[in-house]
Amino acid sequence: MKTYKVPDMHCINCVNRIKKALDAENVAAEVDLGAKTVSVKESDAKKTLEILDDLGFDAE
Amino acid sequence: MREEVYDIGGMHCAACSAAVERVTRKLPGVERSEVNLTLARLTIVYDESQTTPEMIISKVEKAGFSAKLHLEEKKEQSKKEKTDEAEKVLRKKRISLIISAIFAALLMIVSMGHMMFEGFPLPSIVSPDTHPQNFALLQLLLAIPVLVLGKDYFLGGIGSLLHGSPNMNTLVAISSVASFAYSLVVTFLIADHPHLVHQLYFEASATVITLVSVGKYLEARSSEKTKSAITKLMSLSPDTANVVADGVEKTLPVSEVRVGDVLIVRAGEHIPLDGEVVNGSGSVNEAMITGESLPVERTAGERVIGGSVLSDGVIYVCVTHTGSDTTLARIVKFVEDAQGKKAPISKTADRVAGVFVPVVITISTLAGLVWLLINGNISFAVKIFTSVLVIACPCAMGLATPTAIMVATGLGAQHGVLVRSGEALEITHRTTVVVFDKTGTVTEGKPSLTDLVPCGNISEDELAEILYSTEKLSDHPIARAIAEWGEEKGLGNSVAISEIHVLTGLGLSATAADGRSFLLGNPKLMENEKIDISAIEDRIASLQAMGKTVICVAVDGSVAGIAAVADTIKESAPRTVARLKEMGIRAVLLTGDNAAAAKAIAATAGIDEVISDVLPTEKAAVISRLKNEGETVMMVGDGINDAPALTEADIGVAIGNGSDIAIDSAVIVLMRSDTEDVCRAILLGKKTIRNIRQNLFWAFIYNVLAIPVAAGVLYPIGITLTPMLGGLAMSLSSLFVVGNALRLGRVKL
Repeated sequence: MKTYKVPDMHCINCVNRIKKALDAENVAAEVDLGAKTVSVKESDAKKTLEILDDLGFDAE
Repeated sequence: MREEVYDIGGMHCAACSAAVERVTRKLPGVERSEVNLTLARLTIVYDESQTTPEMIISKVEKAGFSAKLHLEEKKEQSKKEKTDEAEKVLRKKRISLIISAIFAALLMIVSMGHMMFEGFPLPSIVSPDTHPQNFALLQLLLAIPVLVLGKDYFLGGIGSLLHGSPNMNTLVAISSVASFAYSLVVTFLIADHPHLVHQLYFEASATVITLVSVGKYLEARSSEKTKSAITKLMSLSPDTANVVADGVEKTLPVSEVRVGDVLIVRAGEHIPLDGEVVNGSGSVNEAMITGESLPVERTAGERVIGGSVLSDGVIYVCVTHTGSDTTLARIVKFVEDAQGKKAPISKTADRVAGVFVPVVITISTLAGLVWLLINGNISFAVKIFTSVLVIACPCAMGLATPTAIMVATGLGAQHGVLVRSGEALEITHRTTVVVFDKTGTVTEGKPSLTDLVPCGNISEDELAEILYSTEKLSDHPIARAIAEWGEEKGLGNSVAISEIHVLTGLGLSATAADGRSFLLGNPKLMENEKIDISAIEDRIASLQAMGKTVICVAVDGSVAGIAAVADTIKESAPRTVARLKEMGIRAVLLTGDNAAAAKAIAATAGIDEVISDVLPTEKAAVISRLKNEGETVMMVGDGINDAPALTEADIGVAIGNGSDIAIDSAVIVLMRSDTEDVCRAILLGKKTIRNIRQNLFWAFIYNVLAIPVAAGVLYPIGITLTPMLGGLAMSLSSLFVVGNALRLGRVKL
């Protein structure tokens, strides 16, 4: 499991945007708005970073 | 480089707009990219050889938003042309003023120089002692350009005299023409009668025109800053609409949409036209139309107004009104009508001139006739007649009003009170009734938490924690109000939320990390979820009656308490009302809200008169009713819905961060949201008008005192009018007027 911190995740709309984009690429993820984190499988890590970048989010 | 504007759909918060900026900035050749969240617009500057509009749109769409090119450049263009036109007129005025001033100044030096200073170096070829005729001709040549540039004063002034309504221009025209004509005659006679050289009044005729032009220029410059309210209103409605027909969606210009067409509107988009929701639901922000700050939920069967913004959800709208029938178009028409109705206000100086001019003409005619009867000398009688006319002209009169108004507007600006015109100050000082809009004027215009009522065995602190931890995750205005309140109270994160869902138009459902389930939302949500709220039903009803929005909280399927959110009154409002009462001015609260909510606010502010349940389009009618009762009405408001009322009122005042439309319709703009500035504006008006009256007194007094001398009253003891006396009266008047106007700048508001 790889967990990224996404500090710009602001509201439910942001969460929905991330979930939708990851779903479209078949990446199973847990998005936590309270902790502002996105968790994915290690194998999807690189892809996730790219997707988040396209969406305009910084992730670390 | 190329600059383009795109409409972006689907943005909800600052993070969304930041995301759009970030992804677009990553495109090659993009120099600048800025997003305006409230307008839902992206302005981008890029190198068209490296990036195309398609690339921008696909990049934004990939980030989860919609993007399309904004189609409004044409409107902006014509608006720009309009301001260019106004600037051109002003520039022309300025150039002609400078030319007049140069010639008038030269004329003053030539004519008065040798009188003021002994041995003034005037070339002997034009010396009054050796070459009196050249001296006169030079003055004639210097005076002609000034008179030609000031021809409007003659045409207007003489015209209004013929209509039997002499005004300030008449006074200017008569004095200028009289002194010029008299001097012209003298110029021809000088060859035979050299002593007449002291009877030249060319400089008086030019100075009057120049000083009055200075005043007119100052007036024109301040009114140039006025912007068109109507263009702003029209730009609220989008140019295109997405029409759904037979399951196919296509984008059409709004002008081609017909009544009965079904439009699809997505979150973040402006609703193009008035209509009825046929499918879907969402919250609509009607703040620009109604001034009400809370979004309203709209579902099937309910009406939506064109120009308002869908802040979340998706709705299908069946169009009910197009073109000039829409609410927005009607508001535009109201503003236009009200503006057209506003009669030009007679200026104080004109009123004085209305009395002064006939009196002076009578005196001069009488004096001339009397002298003709006494000594039968026609040329002496003509001299007396013109001398009275000339000396009576108060040159400083042209400065009396504009200087005072300039100082007053400057003083107002220091206090955040912007006044559009001098007329505004004049009417302001007569104000008898101040009508306040409620939302955003007397109140803060944004919701805050007012009540927290726990229910069952939950503590108030726990209820607060649940509310704060859940609502802070949402971006709804009510949720933001609660989040702000929680941050102020220093609430922590003791309740961890693991999952949350938005129920559009209803509220939120959330699951805590410890497994508890929360439901937060309006009473309807509780009803839908079959949660029994009978225990607190009375409380909910009483809070709603006060105009508050109630949020019910349920934990694990049973009600745990309620919170209420409402617009709160501005802290300065009661002070303002008290001060107005002291000045003997009535205060009235005008609102579209229900009577109970309005009365609650009015009572706290100390306002006795409340007019509630008023539709936006009726507000102007209320104002005109008050006007018909003989009141001088000042209307204070901030929303677009107030625009017609602001224009209809004698004085429209836009307050604080009011909408641009309200500001454009108003003649006074209060930059701060402090209502006490209303009192300051009225006080400023009172002080200014008093100052103008004093100025007019000083402008006239010396000239009036010199009239008897000019009429020949002192002739028996050997004193008749000398140009010296006229010059002295002129400069003393100007000095006192300017000095007195500057004094206004030190007034405490």
